Amino acid sequence: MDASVGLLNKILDCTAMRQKVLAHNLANVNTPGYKRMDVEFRAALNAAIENPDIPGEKPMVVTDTASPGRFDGNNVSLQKELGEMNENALLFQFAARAINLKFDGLRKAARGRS
Amino acid sequence: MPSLGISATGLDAESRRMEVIADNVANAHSTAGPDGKTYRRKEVVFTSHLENAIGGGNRTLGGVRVSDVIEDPRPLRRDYRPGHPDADSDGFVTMPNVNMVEEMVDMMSASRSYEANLAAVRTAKAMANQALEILK
Repeated sequence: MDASVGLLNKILDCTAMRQKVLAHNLANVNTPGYKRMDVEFRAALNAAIENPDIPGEKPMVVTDTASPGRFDGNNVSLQKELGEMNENALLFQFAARAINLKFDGLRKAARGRS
Repeated sequence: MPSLGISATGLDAESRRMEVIADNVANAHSTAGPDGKTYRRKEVVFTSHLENAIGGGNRTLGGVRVSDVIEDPRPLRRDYRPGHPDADSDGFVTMPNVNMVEEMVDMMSASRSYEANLAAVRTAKAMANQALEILK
């Protein structure tokens, strides 16, 4: 299949995974001592751009200890998580629409008319 | 656990917390419970949960869980009410250690956290719908 579909697929995978992790952070917003987690998928996407055909690196779940914590040791911030989640959902939406466009084009080509 | 499931554990935990707050507010003046003792303020304990993936050693995200409901060990208040049936020989009644202001703040926090989890549900749903659009 076309390389761009593979790459968009990877974006869908990574953003779906990140949505999960961000939802986990929000679920644990009141858990004492909980440290927020995030998904690092820049490396995985770069690998997918270089070699679209091999599966390559997987996105990594990392624990974020750098963000300042509250007095109970929890460092989840509601507004930050919601912001990241919106941004992530936009990226997912972009990839989904782009794949749609791609398939639309293929469909038109197969039918031989627009 | 899928993203919706994780958010569901969050909604569950926050509504359990809300129940406990409601119980505290409702019993703010209960001088005698079923065991005859003065009511003590209760509090939920949240723990983050990881579940074992089927067949694999690596753990997947499992949301949050209410691991315990504990009683507040802070001292109970003593009010001078000689006419009260639960008053001791000196006329003092032991009152619950519920602080209304504290409960209100807790309630606001619970409601905001619930909303945040709902927002996560909405986002996950939108993402699933967009993925379904690819099939069209």
